[in-house]
Amino acid sequence: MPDVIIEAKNLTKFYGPIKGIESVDFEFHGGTLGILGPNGSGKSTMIKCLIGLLNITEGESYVLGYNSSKDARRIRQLIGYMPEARCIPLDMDGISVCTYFGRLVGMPKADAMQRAHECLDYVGLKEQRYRKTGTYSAGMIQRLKMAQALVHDPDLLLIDEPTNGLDPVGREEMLELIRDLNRNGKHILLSSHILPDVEETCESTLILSEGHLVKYGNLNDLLTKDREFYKIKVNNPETFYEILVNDGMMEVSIKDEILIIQGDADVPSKVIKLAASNNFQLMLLDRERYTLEEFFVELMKSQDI
Amino acid sequence: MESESTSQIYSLGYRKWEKKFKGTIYRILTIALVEAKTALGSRIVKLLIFARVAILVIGIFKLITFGISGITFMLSFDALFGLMMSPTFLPIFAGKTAFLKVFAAMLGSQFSFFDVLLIGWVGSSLISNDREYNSITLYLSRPIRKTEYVIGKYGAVFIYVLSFTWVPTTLYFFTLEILMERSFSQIAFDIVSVYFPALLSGLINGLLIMTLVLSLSSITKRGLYVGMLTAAINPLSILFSQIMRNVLGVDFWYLFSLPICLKIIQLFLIGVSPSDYFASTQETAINLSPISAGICFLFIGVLILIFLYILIRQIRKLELTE
Repeated sequence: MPDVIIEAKNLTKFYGPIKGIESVDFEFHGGTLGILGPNGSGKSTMIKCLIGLLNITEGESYVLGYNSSKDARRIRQLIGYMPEARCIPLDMDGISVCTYFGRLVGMPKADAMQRAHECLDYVGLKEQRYRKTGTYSAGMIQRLKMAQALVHDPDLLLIDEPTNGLDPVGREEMLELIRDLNRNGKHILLSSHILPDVEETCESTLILSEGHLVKYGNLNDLLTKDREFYKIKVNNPETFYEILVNDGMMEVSIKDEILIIQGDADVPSKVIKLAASNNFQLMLLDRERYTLEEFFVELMKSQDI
Repeated sequence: MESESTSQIYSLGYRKWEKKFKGTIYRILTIALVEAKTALGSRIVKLLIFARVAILVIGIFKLITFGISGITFMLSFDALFGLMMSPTFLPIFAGKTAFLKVFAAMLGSQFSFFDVLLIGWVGSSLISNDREYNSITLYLSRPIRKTEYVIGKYGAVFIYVLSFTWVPTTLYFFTLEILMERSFSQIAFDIVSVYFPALLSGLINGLLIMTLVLSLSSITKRGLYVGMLTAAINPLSILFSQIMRNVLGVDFWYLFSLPICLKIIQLFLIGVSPSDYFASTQETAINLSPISAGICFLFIGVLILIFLYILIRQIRKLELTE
């Protein structure tokens, strides 16, 4: 297994004159990566370029050490892809679909059949596997799509909008599946426009906007770096607010009698010292961070979206 | 769900069968066989196969009863055995010429209307459904090329074409050989000079229909339109050739009727003169030029190339629609 699971260098894709993605550079070293972006931002295009389903206009990319343009077939043998669209043939039953797509990777029929049963068990499709897929609900289709992606036991899974059309219970089960796969050592690239999906499953995130990469990094770092703030509750907030401002803390605000201070790790010690010296009763001092949603909205605003 | 699943997913390790990965031919054959088997699930396909087999069985039964008693069993499901009652064919055991003519007449149903319907139905949804439901993305997310995908789809239709070309031709051929009590050396000669060319003509016919169906299937997302257009192509070509023949008064235009064109190719391949055949069967009074077979080969070849071009163009364009 290479150190760099996915590498994109100036990755660019144009559909004729229409831009799909442009000059995307990143390295993914494993774990779970969430690709975020509004509809039409180039998420699916990027995944398809990575696995060689689309011809790259400029730049290059490597998946599991293989070049996406030159070794696309080898890449597709090693990865599992769960597309966004329905994709499943209607006139076959679940077990046949799973076996069929296992065989198309090159698995012998008996192995493909055995693995198909295991994967369908794993995703929670029990007796429904013998039903025609045309009768499946949206949740069952998503599970079947996951099973067919897993059938050849790939090291890397590329999952496109896995919770589309799922009810809250189905969504939670799907996210738990993804977390479980990661716990079992699978590297996962998850594309979604649903921010909590990424927040709940991914360690790092890559944010696309109009085909450009606008942010890439560890999710925790992105949400806390320069973005930590502290919630403080004291017995007289207005007066303490003035004391804080006079002490040089510029990024302070009051909301519902709670003081919110943006700043680094020195803030708590300063606040405790000021509260003690001025006889304020400190009832709450809590470090908070932005949610991904707040971060994303702010980022999109800064991009003029 | 979590506790059940975690233990099961690794029961068969990836590397256990990675060494057994099979290649391109296996994947193409998988597409062909699975798609052909899936098509069998359709009630209409089952019905058409039943009708086709019934016609075949009745045909053979009539041939045998005629050979034994001289009276055709009166179940004239198609016009074929009407021909055998004509003065030309009554002396059925009159040697090589009669054998060829009877065999040529029988091959009229080598690729029947039911076969065109069946191929149309089976092939109609092969690519159009993949486009409609985006299944093509799933196929191409596997290590297969677009050409392999198309060849696999061809293979699925070809299984049906082969069955309905090979089985009737073989049955008719050997039934006639047995009824005529030909020697082994004569049978061996007929196999080379008549049987294989007859199979070849069926395959040319099948190749035309297959390419037509798949190219139509790649254009539209509605399989029904494909089936309807495929079924309509023969009547449309007959109508076109008749109109042109009547307007211009030249028999040459009959060659653009697909059934006549394919029949001429078939007769040419098995060594029967098209002019003699049409004159004796009185199917159509056609004044054919000596190069009519060449024109028919050219016409069918051009049609196959046009349909193939449409199919390849559509498949290459798939990238933009995925």
